[in-house]
Amino acid sequence: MSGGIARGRLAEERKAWRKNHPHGFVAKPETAPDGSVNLMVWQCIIPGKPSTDWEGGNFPLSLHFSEDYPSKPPKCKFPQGFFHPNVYPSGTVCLSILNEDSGWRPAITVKQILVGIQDLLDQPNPADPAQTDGYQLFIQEPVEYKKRVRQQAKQYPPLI
Amino acid sequence: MVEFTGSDDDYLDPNDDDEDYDAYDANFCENDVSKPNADSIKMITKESLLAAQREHLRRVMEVLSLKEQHARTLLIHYRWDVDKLLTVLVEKGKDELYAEAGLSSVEHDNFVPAQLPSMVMCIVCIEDVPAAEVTTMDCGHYFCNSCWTEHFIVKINEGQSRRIRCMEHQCQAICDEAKVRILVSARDPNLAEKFDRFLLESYIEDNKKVKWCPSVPHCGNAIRVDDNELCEVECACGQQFCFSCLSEAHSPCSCLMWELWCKKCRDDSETVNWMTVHTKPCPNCHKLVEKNGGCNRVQCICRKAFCWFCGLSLDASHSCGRYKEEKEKVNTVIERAKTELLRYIHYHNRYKAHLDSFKLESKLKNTIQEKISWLEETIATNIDYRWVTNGLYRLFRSRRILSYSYPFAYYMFGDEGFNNNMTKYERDIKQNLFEDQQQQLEANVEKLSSILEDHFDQFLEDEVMKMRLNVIDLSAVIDKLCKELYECIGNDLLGYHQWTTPSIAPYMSNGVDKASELVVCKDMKPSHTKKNSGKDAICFTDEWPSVKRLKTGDFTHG
Repeated sequence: MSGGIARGRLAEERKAWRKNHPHGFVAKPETAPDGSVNLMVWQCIIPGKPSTDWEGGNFPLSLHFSEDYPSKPPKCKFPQGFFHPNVYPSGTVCLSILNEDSGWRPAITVKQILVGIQDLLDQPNPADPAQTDGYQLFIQEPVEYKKRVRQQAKQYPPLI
Repeated sequence: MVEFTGSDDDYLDPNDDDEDYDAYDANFCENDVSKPNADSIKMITKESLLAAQREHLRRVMEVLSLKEQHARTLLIHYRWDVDKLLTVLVEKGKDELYAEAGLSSVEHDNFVPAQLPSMVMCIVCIEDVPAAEVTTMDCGHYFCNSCWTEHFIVKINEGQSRRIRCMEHQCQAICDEAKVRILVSARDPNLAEKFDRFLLESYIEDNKKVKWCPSVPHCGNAIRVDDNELCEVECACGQQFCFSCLSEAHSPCSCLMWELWCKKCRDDSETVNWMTVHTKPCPNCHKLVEKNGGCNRVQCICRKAFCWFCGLSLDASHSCGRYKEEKEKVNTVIERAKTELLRYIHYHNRYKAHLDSFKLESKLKNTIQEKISWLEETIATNIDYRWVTNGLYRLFRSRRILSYSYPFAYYMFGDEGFNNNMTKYERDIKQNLFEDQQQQLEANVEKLSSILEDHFDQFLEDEVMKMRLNVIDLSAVIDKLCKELYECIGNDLLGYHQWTTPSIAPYMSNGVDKASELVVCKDMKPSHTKKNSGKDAICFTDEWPSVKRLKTGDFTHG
């Protein structure tokens, strides 16, 4: 069974998502210019939670699945240089449920991943810093940190 | 040069009764028979690995009345430390013990999975599958066999199959190895065998008391040390190594010092030092420039001219001949690098010289063997020549010790942070004491080396006897001096920091401990087999490919 179940599962994920998904979120497989669909890369949007500093932001996130999915987690990336203590300078999200060696389980759905990342936005994990900028401000200058977060939310306005 | 055995205590009075020598000689020979020192150092071969593991499994299975696979899951989590496992049991109770290791539902021995409808949806592939093609783990989560298998295969191929977690979000349970085995072998029997081997090898990989022999090419053996893990061992393949850091046996140098020393010798940190001393960077292109003539107006290949004294560009305002305070600094940096380089060269030369002697003396072994054979053939006396080989052995042993004592001294008395708590005064006293001992040992070793090179095959009988006494005396003295050197290092120098863990392997007069083969208990049959019929028996005998490799008599199974 080479090729595994990655594509089948992703097709089902897509179906389930179209049926029902949390408000404000977007998740769809990439479409090439020729119109063909690549199930292995998804372009998503995560809305900042209401009544947090992240509110109003619509943050673009891409999910990169491997052939070993769902035995292995997808790689989740914000744009390069995204401001958050647990996002690497490359944009890759550092989160336990996305880590193969700790929290990842094949039963975790795309929906659970996206909601998990939305939670992470407003609840950074200071025990696992991934960038110096975001981490230091979060720890040492909360006021400046909030300012930067709100500034970033404005950078990603909702698409009309 | 210190005269041979200058001190009275170290030298046996030559007027002593001759019997003493014979007593020592005999004693020495007896010790020299390579008797594996303790029962505490065991060699584990491919064949005895299963049995070694079973010893531990059986204890846990008996105490907790568990099946073998569950006992193994516990032991892998607690790194094969039965005592620790039992401590957790006493302190936190069974539930906590199991939960920490990801073991669930073992209380009810015959776990019956919840009745599933005839068709169920597997939430991994999101497909509807007949209940017969679904496997439920002990934690109660079920997925289709195909998804489980896929998951297991990925984990096995990644070498992470010793603890495979359930596929459900946030479930910490470890998958039952018997179920893994059934599903994987249905797809790929070779992979199932690999899975079993990984489980078997967990006993080595996840166990601080057992380590693979570092021999290259690998001999396939592992060594288990039951007592003090800071020791030097010899595998049956002949490889001697430090059990603690797996590099060559390096005592009396500590592991950390040895690591630093190897790194220092390997990389070019000293080249950098040399360049600091002998070159200066061009102020224009920053390439390092070496002065090749007497003129202090140096020109770089980039055509920039600069002053060799101060390293600055030679323009109109250049005036380094005038005294300014700061210049002192530059000089001290260079001076320090120079001193440090010379210091390293001093220690390295001596370290290397002893190693070189060791290599040359190794050839002596053959020469001496030839001499002995010749003597035994031509002169039909029953003279025992073991004193020569014993002396030679003592020489090899002490040569290495001497060699390793130099890297030790380099770090101990240098500015590398090994002497934080000593004042300069204390350090000087200790360094003097250490060096006295080292010198004394060195003098005796050289003396022994030169005596052993004598042509005793051409000696008259009384000359041979004289040489014999000398060699025996010297061997005894050297043995004692080595022991004292280790004590000095262990107690006075490294032991000086009370809180640090024991720092060097103990001195072994008869050389590095040889590992003895693990004796496999005949009664290794897991007592549990009978109780659990059918599907549980899978975990035992038949499913273990390695069992078949055991020699008959080593292990009996039903």
